[in-house]
Amino acid sequence: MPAVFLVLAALACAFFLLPLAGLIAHAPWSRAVRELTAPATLEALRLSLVVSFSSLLLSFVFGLPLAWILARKTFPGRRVVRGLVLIPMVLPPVVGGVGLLTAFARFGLLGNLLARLGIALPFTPAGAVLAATFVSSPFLIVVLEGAFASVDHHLEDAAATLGATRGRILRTITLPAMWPAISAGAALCWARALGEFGATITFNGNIEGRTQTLPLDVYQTLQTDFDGAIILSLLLLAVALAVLISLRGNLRVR
Amino acid sequence: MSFLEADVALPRQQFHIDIDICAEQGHVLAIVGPNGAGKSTLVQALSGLLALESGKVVVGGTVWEDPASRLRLAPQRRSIGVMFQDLALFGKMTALENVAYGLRSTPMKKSDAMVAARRTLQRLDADDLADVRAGELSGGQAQKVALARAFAAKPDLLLLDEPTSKLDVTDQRETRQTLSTALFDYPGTALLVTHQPMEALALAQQIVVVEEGRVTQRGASNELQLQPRTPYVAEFVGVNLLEGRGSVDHVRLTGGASVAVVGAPSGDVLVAIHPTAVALHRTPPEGTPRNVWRLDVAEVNLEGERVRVRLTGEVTLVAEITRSAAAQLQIEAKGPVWASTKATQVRTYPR
Repeated sequence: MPAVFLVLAALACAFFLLPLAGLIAHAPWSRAVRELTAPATLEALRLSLVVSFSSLLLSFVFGLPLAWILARKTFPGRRVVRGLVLIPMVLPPVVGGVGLLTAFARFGLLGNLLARLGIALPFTPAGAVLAATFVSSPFLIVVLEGAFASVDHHLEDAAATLGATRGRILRTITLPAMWPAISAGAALCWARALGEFGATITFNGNIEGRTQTLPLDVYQTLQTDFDGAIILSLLLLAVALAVLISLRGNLRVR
Repeated sequence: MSFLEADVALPRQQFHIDIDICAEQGHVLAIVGPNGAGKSTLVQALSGLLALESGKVVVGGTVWEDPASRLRLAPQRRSIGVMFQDLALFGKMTALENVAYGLRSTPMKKSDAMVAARRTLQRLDADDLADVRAGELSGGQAQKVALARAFAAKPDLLLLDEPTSKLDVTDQRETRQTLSTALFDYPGTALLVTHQPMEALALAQQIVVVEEGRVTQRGASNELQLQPRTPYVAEFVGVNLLEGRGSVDHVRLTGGASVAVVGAPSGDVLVAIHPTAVALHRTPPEGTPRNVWRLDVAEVNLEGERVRVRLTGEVTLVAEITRSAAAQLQIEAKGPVWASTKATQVRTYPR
């Protein structure tokens, strides 16, 4: 291994480590308890968890069938659909938020219809879920599609010759074989939803107790109280690590 | 009408496959042929994993597939058990769960399925493997479990795609033993794809030879041994096969040599000579009129107490002699040998 590689790799590690070290070094630990038990913080934490897990659930419900179709079916326009799924990954989240407004706000493409049905999405917790799902679900779909494509078709064929229905094959053969990919994709998707900021604040504003998730709380606190923002950031970091470790069993992604 | 009647026609990359077969209930039909002849394709088509282009599949009076009337049963709706070439066991499930998998597709209760699966494993002398994960089984063990899984639900049609091909000799013998246990009094029809002559000859009532997507010969094993019709079949049953034109008491071979026979049909004929009917000498043999050729030794293979000698020259022959005869002849030494065979030992039949 060339020595220069070693040096560059070490620098990369330092680059990832330093911000974390900074957060810990600057944390005003004496204020921690008071700050973490403040009603606004608890409310933001609760909302963040609800929003991120709801959006993970929605991503599965809609993303799993889409990933299956993309991986297993050939149809005209498949490449277009695949590109469509990738757009939220490359789009600046703020632009995503503006786009969501033009679609779901009262003046938007679907907004009028939704309003007549009594559904209002922008500036609501449901809107926060919508924004987070828009941005995070592609991470799950892309991973699931790859997993569907790489499952050994032979085992599914064998199950079919043993009389298993399609649903049973999916449940007993396909999904278990995909388990590592499912948990990796879920971890990526959930983490992206937890950290979602741009699309959420654009689509939903920053309303405490209603649309103010933890990242938005960090942003708002930062305007006036740097130390408080550090505490909240560490809280977000701790939540993310705790969930990822329990979701993956360990920190290895693949 | 036979229990299994199938005419399987579909295009593959290299050639068009068109194989028609039939078999009685309770019989074993062996499908033999060189690699890439279309044997596995036949298995996939019969199991419903590949669609026919034309033809028909009827099993036990039920039409499984008939492209002409756009009828095609999905694999799930066919009464089949398949033992795939790569076994395709479910690696994370135990052997018992693998065997019970097909039974669970029937309305059978889970506990009943488990009991029946265990009984199937017992029958194949493999119940000690029940709780082992399929992914951790050895080659021979996995083969047994795959066989048990394929026939646990007593399907009408059992498809065995080269069940012993990837095993060492000991495991092969054991799996073959297991196969004959499983196939004995099996109520359905079994299709055994193999290129092991031993397996086909020992287990099957009928043998169908498939070459380049077509049936080149079919019949009982002794029919194939007596009158092989293609070089592949001759090789498969271990008989020398020559071609030529017959006239009364001899056959003029395609290569120019002549074979004395007893009563040859006229016209194009095939000539079969069993390797044990070929005697070898270091000096020209004298005596009764018989076939004598001066040939070169191309290859010597030891097979237990027998030695198979491949000879080339004006005819290409395999002679099978005893080990002591080979030693006496110094068969590995340089120099020509004379091969002789009696006219009464040569079989001729129209091509």
